[in-house]
Amino acid sequence: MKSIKFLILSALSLGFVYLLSNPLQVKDTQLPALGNFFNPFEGFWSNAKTNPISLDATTFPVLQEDVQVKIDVRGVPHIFAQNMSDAIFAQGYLTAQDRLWQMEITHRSASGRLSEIFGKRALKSDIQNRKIGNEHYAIKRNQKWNEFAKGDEKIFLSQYAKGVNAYIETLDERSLPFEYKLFNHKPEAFQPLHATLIVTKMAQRLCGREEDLEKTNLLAALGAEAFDYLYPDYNKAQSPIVADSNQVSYPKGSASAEQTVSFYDHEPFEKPNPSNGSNNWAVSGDKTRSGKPILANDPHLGMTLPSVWYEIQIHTPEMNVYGVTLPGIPGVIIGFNENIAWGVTNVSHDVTDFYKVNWADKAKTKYNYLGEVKAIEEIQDTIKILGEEPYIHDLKYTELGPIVYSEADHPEQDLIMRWLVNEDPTNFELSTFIDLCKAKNYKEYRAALSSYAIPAQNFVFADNSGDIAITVTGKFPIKEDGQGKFIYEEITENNLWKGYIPFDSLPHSYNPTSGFVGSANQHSTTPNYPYYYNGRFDHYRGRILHQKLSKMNDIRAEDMMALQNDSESLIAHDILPALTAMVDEGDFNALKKGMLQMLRDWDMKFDKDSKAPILFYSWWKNIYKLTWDEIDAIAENRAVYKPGDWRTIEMIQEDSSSKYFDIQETEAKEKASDIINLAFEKTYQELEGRINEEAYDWGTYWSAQVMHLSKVPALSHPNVEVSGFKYALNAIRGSHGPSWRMIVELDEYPKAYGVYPGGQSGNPASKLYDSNLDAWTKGDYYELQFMKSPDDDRFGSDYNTLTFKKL
Amino acid sequence: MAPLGALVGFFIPYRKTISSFAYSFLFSFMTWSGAAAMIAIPNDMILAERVGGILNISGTALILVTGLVAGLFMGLSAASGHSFKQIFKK
Repeated sequence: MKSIKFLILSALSLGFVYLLSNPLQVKDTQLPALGNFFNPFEGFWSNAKTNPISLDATTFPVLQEDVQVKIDVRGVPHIFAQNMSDAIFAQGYLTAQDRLWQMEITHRSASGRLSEIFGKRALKSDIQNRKIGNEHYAIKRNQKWNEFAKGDEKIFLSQYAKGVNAYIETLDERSLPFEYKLFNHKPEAFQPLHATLIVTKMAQRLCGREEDLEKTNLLAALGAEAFDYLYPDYNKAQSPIVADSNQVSYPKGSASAEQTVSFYDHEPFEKPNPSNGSNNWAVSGDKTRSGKPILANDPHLGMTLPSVWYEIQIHTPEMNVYGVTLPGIPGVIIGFNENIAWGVTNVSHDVTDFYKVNWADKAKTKYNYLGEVKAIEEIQDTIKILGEEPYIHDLKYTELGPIVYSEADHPEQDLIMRWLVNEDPTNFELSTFIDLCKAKNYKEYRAALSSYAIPAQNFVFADNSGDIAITVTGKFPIKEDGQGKFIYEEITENNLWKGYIPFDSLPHSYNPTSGFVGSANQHSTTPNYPYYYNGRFDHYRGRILHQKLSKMNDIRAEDMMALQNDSESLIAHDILPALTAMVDEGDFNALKKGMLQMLRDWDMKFDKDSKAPILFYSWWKNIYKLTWDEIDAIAENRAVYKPGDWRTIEMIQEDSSSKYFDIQETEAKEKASDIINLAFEKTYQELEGRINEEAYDWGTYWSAQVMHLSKVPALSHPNVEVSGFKYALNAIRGSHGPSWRMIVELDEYPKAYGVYPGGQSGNPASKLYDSNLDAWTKGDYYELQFMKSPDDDRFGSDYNTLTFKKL
Repeated sequence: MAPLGALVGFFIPYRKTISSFAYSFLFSFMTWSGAAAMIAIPNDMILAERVGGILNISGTALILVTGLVAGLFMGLSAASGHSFKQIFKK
């Protein structure tokens, strides 16, 4: 009896020991070993200990001189170093202190090494990133950077890595950052290759989007004439970034008869979010109250926790710069120094081409390339998966790039992807940012940009001598009209890139008479620019930006803040009056009349307390869906995409009897006005129950999602009620939006304001994890503490001082 | 820690195994939840609420769960040790 009691108890005991000492599989998530995790002395609790950060008496042999750091109340480190090398070391250390896990997950994401941590749910993304060859090409990129780097550039990446690793060395079980404990892994030593991968990841987000496969299927389904009608390259209502172009125009039609007309069955890769974009602008002293320029930038990216960006100031004898950085990459990406300010928006040109593989043998080991037979470089690749057998597959590389789509039973559909980012670099591609940090004037800004490669950005500029400028910057393959939109049937001399557009021929504007420059991912130029390009462009934000800036005068920083938070959209201005005019109110009930009146009274602003935006959005969505049933039909079998909202609107205005407004499955031949009425009815049915609820407004309907990188809701801020719309300057859309908002007033010494939806610390236990979110939601800004020296007390004296001591 | 718990249970002469369990449980529960509370409260329950949220419980409940983990663990170990000794008693 007693033995049985003992056996039961010891079995329970041992069972419990086992349960607590090993990771637990719960459905498809893995929990860490609970015994360790819950241990208040070593587990997650110890991440909440509120000890002030100190370096004790540690000395850092790699430093030439001491580095003094002041950390302000928002957790922004202000680094005062005696040379660039020490400053970058400190930047690496401090960034790692706050964002180590984020850095690791970002480079793992690029390499395709997330399944090791998160299990099978990350496998699809990993397979895709292995096929694209991110790590394969990052290794090459890193080698080339080492060859091309000169002066300070040579130590840039290695010093940063040393800083990160110096921080990692201080960690033990107890002080491991929270997510390492939650997801049960240990930090990897940081290498320059990881920084290169983080650059690749950003490039993927910004110039990795293409729709060649979809366009090819559309061309095959619709024919050239219909394709050009529905998917034109240019929008005549557009207000391009740089309007002046003295060149002769080239023909607009581009889907020529030479292009491929086959279908492709592949499921396309997951694409970067089309909302990745931004606004930036600069206004000259002619338009400001101060008489000096003001510059603004708000990059639109995923709004994550921790944030994409990390604020920092770096002060050395040769530069004093403040701005936001990308964790993992040294230097400042968007910011200002004592003389200039700069910012970026995405250019969005299509820089990916696809070529059909012309196999030279049945075994698919050789392919034809410009008259020669070449061997495929084949690599067996293994993806480790947490808790499962690894996934093994073959990667195939050609002269032009990896073969990313291939089906065993359809070798005629195998495709090579040539992505600009996978081309060999021709210089140290991070030098632009170092040079901008040090630049003092327009000439030095242009020199800094001349070496910029990927991803292409519209760099806006202003300085305290009064100059403003914008340059569409990057490597752009030279193509003939219409080239690169569709999959190439074969590789010919003519189908290959003919070099890159020379820097001096890139669209740019310098002190225009309008007194402002600005971009919001719209077309770079009018169609008479001498080099062909296509891409996916904004049709609303750029236009309203130029409209509003041209009317503004006596501008102050507050006016720029209001403009960044502006939720008015031209899509409503463009089409709503026509829509409401076409509605047949004949037998409308009171609620329907009410809804229509709400729309007529609306100020076209997507404000969170407003109800009309919900009506407009729902109505437009229904109109769009009813119109494009033809494309939906093609989509059942093939990857395609539907014409732009802007084009649909243009068709309603100019071609309202177009056959596309006819709904296929009905006998009747509908026109635009019929669709509009049918759509209104649908909107009524969707919303009649809720529209008059007090709390039901645009903020509830269109909320922002600020999510932890792992998407765990408890670590995130879901459903943040905000104003904004993807087609307004305040371009919030789900988990995408203004990830940083910055305004810089140029002067003898600049004054700047900034905010982002998150906090400096990546530690979910810290008050600084999400401390800026509230202000960002309200549209408020913090004054950025651009210190002149470590003893600068213009912003108060609430600093935590850290000294990195040399040996 | 489990062998330690077992030894404690083995050597401390409670009359009943349940007492051995109970006292070990109580002591361990208070140590761990006490330590957790001493961290959580100055942290304004920020982390407690977040991690609790992952498990769908409140921050306070999380502190108690922390104690429970230790309590059950040590309580069972002690009870095993105690019941082992009981086998030899007459």
